[in-house]
Amino acid sequence: MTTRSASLPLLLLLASAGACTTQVVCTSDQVSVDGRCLSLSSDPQNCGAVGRSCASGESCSAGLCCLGSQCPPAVYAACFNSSSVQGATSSAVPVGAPVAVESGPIALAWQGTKLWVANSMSNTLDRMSVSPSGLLPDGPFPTVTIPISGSFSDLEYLAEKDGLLYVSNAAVGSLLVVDPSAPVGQQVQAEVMLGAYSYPQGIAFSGGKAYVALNGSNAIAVVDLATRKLTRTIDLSALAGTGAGAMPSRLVVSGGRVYVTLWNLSATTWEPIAGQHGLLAVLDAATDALVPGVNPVDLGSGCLDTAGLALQGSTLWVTCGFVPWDAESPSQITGSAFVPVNLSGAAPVVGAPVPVTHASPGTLVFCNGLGYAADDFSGDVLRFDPGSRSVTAQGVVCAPTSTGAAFLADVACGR
Amino acid sequence: MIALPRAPAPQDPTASATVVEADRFAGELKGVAELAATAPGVAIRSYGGLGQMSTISIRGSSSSGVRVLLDGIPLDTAAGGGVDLSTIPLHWVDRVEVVRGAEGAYFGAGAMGGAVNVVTLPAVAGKWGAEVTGGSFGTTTTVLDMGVGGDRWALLTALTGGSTQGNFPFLTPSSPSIPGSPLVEQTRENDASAQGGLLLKGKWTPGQTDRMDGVVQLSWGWRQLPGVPSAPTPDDWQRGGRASGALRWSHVLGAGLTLELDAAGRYELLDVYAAPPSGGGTTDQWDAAGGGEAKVAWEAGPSLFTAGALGSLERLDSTASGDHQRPTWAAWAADDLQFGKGALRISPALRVDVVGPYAGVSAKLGASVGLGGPFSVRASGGRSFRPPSFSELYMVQGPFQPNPDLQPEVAWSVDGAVVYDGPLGRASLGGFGALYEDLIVYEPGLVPGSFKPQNALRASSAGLELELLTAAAKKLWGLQGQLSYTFLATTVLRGVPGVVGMELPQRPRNRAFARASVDPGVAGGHLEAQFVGAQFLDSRNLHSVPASLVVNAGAFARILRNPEVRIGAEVKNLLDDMTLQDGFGYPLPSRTLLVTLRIGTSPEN
Repeated sequence: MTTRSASLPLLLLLASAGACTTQVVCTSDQVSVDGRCLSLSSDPQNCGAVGRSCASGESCSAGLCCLGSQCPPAVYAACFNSSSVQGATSSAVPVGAPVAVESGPIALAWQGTKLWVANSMSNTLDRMSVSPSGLLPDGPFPTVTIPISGSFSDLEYLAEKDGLLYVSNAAVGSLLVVDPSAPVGQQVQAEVMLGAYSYPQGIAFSGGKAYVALNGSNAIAVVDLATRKLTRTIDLSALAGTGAGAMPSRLVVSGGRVYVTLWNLSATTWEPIAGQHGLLAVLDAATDALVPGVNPVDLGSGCLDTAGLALQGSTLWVTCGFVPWDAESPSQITGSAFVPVNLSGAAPVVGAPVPVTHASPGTLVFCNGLGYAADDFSGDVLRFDPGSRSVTAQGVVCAPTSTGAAFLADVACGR
Repeated sequence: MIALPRAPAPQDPTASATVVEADRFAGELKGVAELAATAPGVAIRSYGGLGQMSTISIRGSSSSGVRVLLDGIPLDTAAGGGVDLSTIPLHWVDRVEVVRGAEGAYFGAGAMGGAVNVVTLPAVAGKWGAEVTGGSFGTTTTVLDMGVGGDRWALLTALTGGSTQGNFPFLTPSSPSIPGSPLVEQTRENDASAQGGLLLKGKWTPGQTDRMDGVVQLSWGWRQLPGVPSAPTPDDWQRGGRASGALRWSHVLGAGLTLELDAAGRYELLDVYAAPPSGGGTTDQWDAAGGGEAKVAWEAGPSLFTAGALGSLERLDSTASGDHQRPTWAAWAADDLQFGKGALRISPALRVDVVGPYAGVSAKLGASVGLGGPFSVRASGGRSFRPPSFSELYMVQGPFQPNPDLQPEVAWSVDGAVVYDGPLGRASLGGFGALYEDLIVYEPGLVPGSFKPQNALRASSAGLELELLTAAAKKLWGLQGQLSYTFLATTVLRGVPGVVGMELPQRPRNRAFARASVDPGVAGGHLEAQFVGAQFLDSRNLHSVPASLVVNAGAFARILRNPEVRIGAEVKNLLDDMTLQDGFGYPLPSRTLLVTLRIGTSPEN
């Protein structure tokens, strides 16, 4: 029996009512077998079909059994410290050789069959293409060089819409509009100034607008894509707890609303404040105002320092985890979890967090029904099964450098 | 007539050195950085000009790899990051000795790329002066100096003060991330600064065999910190002061044998406010150092042998790095052997420094050979090291993490030059090479967004240095000319992927300074040009600052001879290039007019 994406409130209702039911709710790409949700695209015991097991040592990728480097990547990872992009199987095993890119890859975005990477420390964009032999540079790197203004560079996010790339330039406080088809040197077509120290991060689109999280100025910028002008700034500072800064980071648009993760950390130390947790802001994309009566959404004590968020069905999954600046061991990570937020009702409903030990899930994507989260601390990819609500695989995808640093900055689904 | 400098640096007789006499720039508002920039081999890193921070790099070294001394007192603070030359008050300077190469054997641990010794005004009885300068952007400076004394003693008192609003106009791209975007004019904001200083310097010769020298330096400064145009910091500032002093007793023990005992100390305060969200509030710091040194010099036959030992203690207490201290012990020996009336000169030197837990050997061997007439050749080679600074070892400031496991940096250098020193002036043309090992750079740390210093870099530098000073046509209105040129090629030999084989950032390949001046008597003038070639902003060499040419000019008139009353005017950035910026993207001042009135004893007196 297959049941498609029942809502979390319904599940909670069923559970709380103590009803005698055997209904199992699985995600859209899963099947329910004997009360268990199975992912036929990645489960080596049920690869492509229920009961079809892969041979020992084989992985299941895209519903096909494969061996090591022969597996098509289920995800690509931006390895910040080693300045490379690495493919990985659905079992979080590296596949193929890493592609060396410019310094500090921090964000990935697909443009058709081309995979773009924004490199934070070199202020560049690199374009790669997928070939039968794996990921390859699409022309000489860097593909796009963005001038440095000042003594440092800091690209933070990359998004694609209608063939254009949108880049958060945190060093300047601007949103860049890049036309990859333009001649070299003219690709950066527009720069929307968002304010000094606005520290723009995540970008999301709704209609003809782009929403940009201004981490430094505790606001959301609304940019008209046609005129390429800043049309509005939505202040979120009041949503933060006492002594904290809202610090918006990532956004998702769903059902006419914009959901924004808020770090809600101390404005001076960037550390969690006792009794305060990660938050979610909810905006109305029609009015570009906070939705009344629901803000902020408290993600609970199990969630400190929100990181990524991704939509799976009507459930918004938020990743959390606070890593102190001086952390040397994953045991120092606190408030680490995948937190479900049911969006099917008028008000978001926060579900029970799925705690994570000894890792800090960061950027999150769902590919064929499975979640892949970057561990902010180890260079690991965490495979998250939203059906069973558990981390079902974890492996090193970004190898540490000689100093032991391995920041896995972003993940993107394989294509 | 102003004499051209002919003596080499007194500390290292065969070194590649330039002595910049401040007298040659009398009446011009030039700080230590601008004076040093007239020498080859150096690159000044200014952070905006007009009272803002400036540091020096020599032969491709980092600024923390240059030992800076003020009247022999090391200013290299344990805080690290290089000495801010702008903290030495204008008008204090008598000369700046720029010594190039690994000079740890003569100047102590830290002299990787070279050393700069700033010598303040001498105590001369009966010499006095008063000078006031005013000009563009609310810039004013004042100096009063007076020397008193008798046959056996002299005491100098010099009081200086100055301030600037620093609100100069500049051009900046309207869209900084779009190449070739239109330039818009802005006014530099939050760029004011003020500085004051008191210098007391004395000497006493009680007998034929004894001499006492002492100096007390008090200075205070405040400046606003404007940031870069794309990320201004309208509320940031810093303030600080320095009190330093030294006392030296020299005693002739016997024929050719001299004993010298020194005691020196320094206390510095620095408060920096960096407003959130870009900064973390106020950082307070104080730094104190003190110690003593004993030295003997023995002149016998062709040899002038010196040896000595010192002990000192430095303590740094900072809200960023905590309270730490470390002792320094050093011993050294050097010889200056001259044969054939100086036609052949050999100068070996060896020094051992123990700085806290770090011990290292610095060595130098130099030689010069006369080729007949005014021509000679000189060559030297050396090794030096720099222990990690307290900032690198202990500083915790947001994402910047300490690394107590750091090891010292090490430098090796060689150079050689053909030298002309004759009636036409002084000229030298030489080449150099340096290897820097285990350079400390901040690399991304374990936690995303954090940085931690690592001994991660190995780099080389090589180049050419040309220096020319001439007064050959001094009958033509006292015409003097100066030219210095540096070609510098740096290469990263070890580092993170993508930087190996690249050039070090903020090291321009070409730099030149040219100056001509006339002084026929009642009036005079000068014209000078400073060219700084293109330099990279980043370690991957993807971004660069274009080359710049700054032309300065000035003129003066002597209204009275004795006492000398002199009025002068100078124009800096005569071409009014409003796009000038330093290697960190900070705009530099547009055309600046300064007028100076000085009254004082005549140079002839």
